[in-house]
Amino acid sequence: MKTIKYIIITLLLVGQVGCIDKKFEDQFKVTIDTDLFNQIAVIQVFDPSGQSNLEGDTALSVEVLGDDKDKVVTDAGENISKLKIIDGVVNLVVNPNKNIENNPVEVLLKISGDNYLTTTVPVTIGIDERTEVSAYVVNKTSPVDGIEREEKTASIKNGVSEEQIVIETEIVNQTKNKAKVSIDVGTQFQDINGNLIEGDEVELEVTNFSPTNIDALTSFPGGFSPQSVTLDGGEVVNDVAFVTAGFVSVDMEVGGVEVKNFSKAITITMSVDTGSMNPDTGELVKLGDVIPIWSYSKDNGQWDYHGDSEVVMIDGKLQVEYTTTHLSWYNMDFYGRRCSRYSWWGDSSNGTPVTLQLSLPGVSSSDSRRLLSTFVYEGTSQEVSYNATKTQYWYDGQTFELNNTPAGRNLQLVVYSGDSRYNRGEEIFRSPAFDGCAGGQVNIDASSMVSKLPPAPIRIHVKYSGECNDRIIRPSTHLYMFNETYNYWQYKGYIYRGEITLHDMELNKPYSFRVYYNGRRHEHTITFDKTEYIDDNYNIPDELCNQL
Amino acid sequence: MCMRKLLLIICILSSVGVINAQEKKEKKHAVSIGVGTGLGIDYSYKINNYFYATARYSTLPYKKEGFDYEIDGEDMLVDAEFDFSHIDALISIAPFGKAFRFVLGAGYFTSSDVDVMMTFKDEVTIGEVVFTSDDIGSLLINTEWNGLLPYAGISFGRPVPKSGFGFGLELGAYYDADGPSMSLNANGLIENTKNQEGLLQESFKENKFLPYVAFRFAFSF
Repeated sequence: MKTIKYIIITLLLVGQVGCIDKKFEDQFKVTIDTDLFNQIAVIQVFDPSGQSNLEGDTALSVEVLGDDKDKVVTDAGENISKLKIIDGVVNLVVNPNKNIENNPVEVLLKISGDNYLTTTVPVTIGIDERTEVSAYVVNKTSPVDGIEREEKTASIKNGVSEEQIVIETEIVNQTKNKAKVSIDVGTQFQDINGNLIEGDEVELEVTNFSPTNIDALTSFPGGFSPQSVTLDGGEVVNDVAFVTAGFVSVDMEVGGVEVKNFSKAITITMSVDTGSMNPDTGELVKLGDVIPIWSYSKDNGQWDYHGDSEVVMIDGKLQVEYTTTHLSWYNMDFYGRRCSRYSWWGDSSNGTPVTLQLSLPGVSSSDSRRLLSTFVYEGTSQEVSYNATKTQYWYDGQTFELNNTPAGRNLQLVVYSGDSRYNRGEEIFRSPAFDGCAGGQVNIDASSMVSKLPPAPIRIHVKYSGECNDRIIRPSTHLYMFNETYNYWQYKGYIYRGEITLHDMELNKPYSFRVYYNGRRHEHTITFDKTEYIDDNYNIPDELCNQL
Repeated sequence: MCMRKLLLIICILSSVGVINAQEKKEKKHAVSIGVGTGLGIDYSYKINNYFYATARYSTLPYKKEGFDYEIDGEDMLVDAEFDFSHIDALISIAPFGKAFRFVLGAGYFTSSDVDVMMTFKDEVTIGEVVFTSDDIGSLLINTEWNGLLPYAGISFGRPVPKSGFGFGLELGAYYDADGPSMSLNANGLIENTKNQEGLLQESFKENKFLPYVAFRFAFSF
């Protein structure tokens, strides 16, 4: 019977397939899209004192932390031990083989560099989501306004202080607050295990962050919606929202060994910015207010409750003073909880995130503007999280779903004239305050913003494709373009299956672009001569080519 | 027992007698079954020694999954499904009044689909991440011929056998002036391969003949 079947098929194939034009076999090409991963994240780190400082792959290094760290790989599918931060850009994807249930994934990026203050960036990659996160790092050699830094070397004897050591940030550039660390005579400097670090010199660094300066706020290590916080009483939760009144990082080394503990408590004094808001009272922070102090580990991004501290008046300034035997970074934070749209995340009793609907008369989706926006606590410039600040399209009727937002605090939507965290521009709109966890829809009348919008942009729709191993490849990758005005490589969006629409472009002008794959940079230049542009000679990275 | 044997002998002898009686009368009708590019049945009527009229139904449902095929250098796994069914109206012309004849007519295809689904045979590994062929996606090619097609062929063996039973062989082809209608669909990461549909259509448009082969076993009456 099988023989008969094969005879039949042979006859049919002789008739059908045998007549196939040779052209078909010669010209037929499989087209492959490279969006292999459906949970991806791009993190762009900025040095506000000059993004060119981060060029290359040596200025910063990155480490992935967190319970889900084994679920993520590099954009080339490699183990995260090979993850690089190049030009300030990190590309991560979720390994579908390790996340079979397709759950959201949370990791923490620890970013450090010789000239930079170590920071952590929480990254949550949702289901079938492209997560875009941007964050600032603090350049120790040239911190921005609002960040004051002091270094000093003090003599000690065999790992013990022989005199009181004081290090204090200076008040410069109109900064309103400062930090001071005092170490008493006879204090032993100890390592992470509590062992004495013998040496005759201690190197001290103190960095103070203003809670009212937007650049300083943007540089706060860890952000304000941390993934893991130990509350008073020891409960560990993942849905805390901080409202800061100030942050100080303190680092010490003896003979190259990091100091983690002291035999005697050291005293940390932080001044309170007079513009700081107490969200619990809705008024400015005042004498007698109690502010919780939180310690922050730059090693694992963990926040722990340290204690409450009362605001006192010292030398005519509002200050808080507290002691510790454990060297960490400290944050004065009022705190609350968050509500979430996801059942796996947080306590549903905190409310349901709202959906915002925008009224922007006269601005249709076809001439929408791509602008940076953020959500801040009412009356402040403090963004609620790294994820709150995004570049988005703005037009009449546009809706935004909040996913994970502070509960019990009023928020404001702020829109800037620029289209990147790095070139924020001017604040052109600030919405009335709203409760982000009230559920339902909140209508935002942004008509006052219309007259301040930048001109309608020229958009160019680009179709990219390339060829490798006789296959057509449509790339899916993040695209960066050199911004001559601000002298940095600006994130322009995600090329999805070979297509992207670029905003704010000009015809007949050369543009330089970058993409990244497997920790390597790839550049190309295009002069667009039409608004529908096809680049079918896109250079597919060899390592990707060989694997497809 | 003896009575049964006697009855059997009577029956056989009676049958021979009927056959002999029929041979005396020319047989004008025949039914046959055919096996070839399908399974078929037909009815034929002898108009005279040179002309026969035939009505035929043939069908070829066939499915085979998971055989290897290489396309554009890619090792693919192919699931193929044929579904051919047609009703034909035919005139046979026997120029010598013998068994050899020409067959002309038309076939109406109630179904003429060839569906071929191709998936990548091998997994794709990117770094340490393995993607299955399902993750990559599949290609689906569909071929379809027009409903009513002219037919021509040659045949050996009378459509209406003289002596009750007869065998025959028929070779022919249906003709589709426009060639088959081809469609190409793709999904997953190779979704855009469907942009090759024009090339596929162009490449197959000269494929205008749909072959027909059948071994016939006929019974006349």
